[in-house]
Amino acid sequence: MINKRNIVGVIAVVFMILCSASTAFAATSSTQQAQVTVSDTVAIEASFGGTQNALINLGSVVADGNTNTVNGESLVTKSNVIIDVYTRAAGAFSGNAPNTDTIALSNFRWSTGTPTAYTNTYAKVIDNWAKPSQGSSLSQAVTFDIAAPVGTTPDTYSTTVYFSAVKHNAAAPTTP
Amino acid sequence: MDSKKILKIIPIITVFLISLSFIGSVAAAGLLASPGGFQVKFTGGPTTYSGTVTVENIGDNTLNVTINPKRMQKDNINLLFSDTGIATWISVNPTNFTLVPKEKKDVTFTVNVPANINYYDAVGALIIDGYSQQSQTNSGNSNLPNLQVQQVPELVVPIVVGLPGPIIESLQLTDHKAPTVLLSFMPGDFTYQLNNNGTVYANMTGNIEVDGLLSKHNVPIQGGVFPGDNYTLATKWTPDFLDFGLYNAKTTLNYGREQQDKTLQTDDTILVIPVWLIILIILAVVIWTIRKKEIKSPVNIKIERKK
Repeated sequence: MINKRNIVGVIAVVFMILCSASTAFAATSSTQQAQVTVSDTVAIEASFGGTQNALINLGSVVADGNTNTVNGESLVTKSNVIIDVYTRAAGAFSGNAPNTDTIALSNFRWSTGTPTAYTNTYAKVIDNWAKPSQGSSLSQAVTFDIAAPVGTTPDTYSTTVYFSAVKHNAAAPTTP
Repeated sequence: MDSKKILKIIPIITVFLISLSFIGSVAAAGLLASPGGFQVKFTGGPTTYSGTVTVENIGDNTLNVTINPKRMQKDNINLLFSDTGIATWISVNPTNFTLVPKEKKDVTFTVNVPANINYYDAVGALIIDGYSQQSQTNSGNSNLPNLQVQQVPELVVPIVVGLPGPIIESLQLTDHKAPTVLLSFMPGDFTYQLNNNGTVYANMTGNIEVDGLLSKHNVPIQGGVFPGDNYTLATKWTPDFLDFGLYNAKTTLNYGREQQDKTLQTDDTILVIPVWLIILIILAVVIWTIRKKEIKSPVNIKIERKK
């Protein structure tokens, strides 16, 4: 014979359990928002495959005025915005004292298509370089041409080359 | 027996494969800056704006990083920097530090915008350069020139205050003076007052072609004017012994930032009176005067025959 009191008690216990459970569900069902702001970044890498440092070794060239082509330079963008890339050289190739010979920048050209002689002012290498996909990067090969004029003294000649990245249309006109 | 051999080989193969991955890697110099640009809200009156840019070494080499504030002018082709104007309003801290690979640093800057800004000073920039600490490579053939290049990743972070300044090449000739009458061996001054009403430096080269009936001369001139500046270009021309008569002095001044493909021209007329002509005239006048006045010589010479 079912005891009515027992039934009520069971129902009450079950009801209490359900209430606490629903309370627990209410606690776990509350949500919180998390957000992060990602700023625009401009990022560029200049690498020369096969070397273990940031120095590009263009190799030994015969001082005959003839052009030698050097491959292996690569520019990489890891920006999250569209960028423009410029390049310039610091000055002519210079040797070690007491050698006073120099190799003018007119003998040093960069190319992503049509060779262009280096100067000490900025020249645009890449215009409107697209933003890479998330988690990846984009690369652009650059070829160098170099010639040593006849009579150039055997020595190691050096210069510095800058690859400059700036956000595309960073200085676009704004309304006053 | 075979399984023992396989167990011995697997670690060797694993180490070999890991080593291969390192051998094939490419060393790179790389920099990252965030944010990539700043916009100052300028509504007139002096304004102080501060910001922070994070610089990170994303390459494989330790970099010496330098940061320099500049005035920037940029169009579809050109990128120019200078140390004037807005460049002097920007202070940066720090300006020089070292970053190992994957290291980042926060750099703060302040822009003190004056009450009135020039149209040309609307855009500044932080120029961030990363110089590798790597030293010179070993030279190759010691009997030949060896060439090496240090490559520097550089980031340009614009700081825009107002309307940007476009690149405009423009030079005005506001005044000029040339001699009208010259004597032989007497130098004549040519002066040209120039005003650079463009936005970039103007390199000038040119010449003054002095053309006469029987002779021609060329006087080279050159100079340079900063934007907004007035400049006095001065040179001289001295007629030589054989120059005489009317001369046309045509001045041609070519200017431009890089290619001097813009021209200013002036024309002047100069009368050159040669010294020898003056001497001849004076002699002629003297002789004429003596004859006209029948001036006797104060010395009498009497010749007598010896007996």
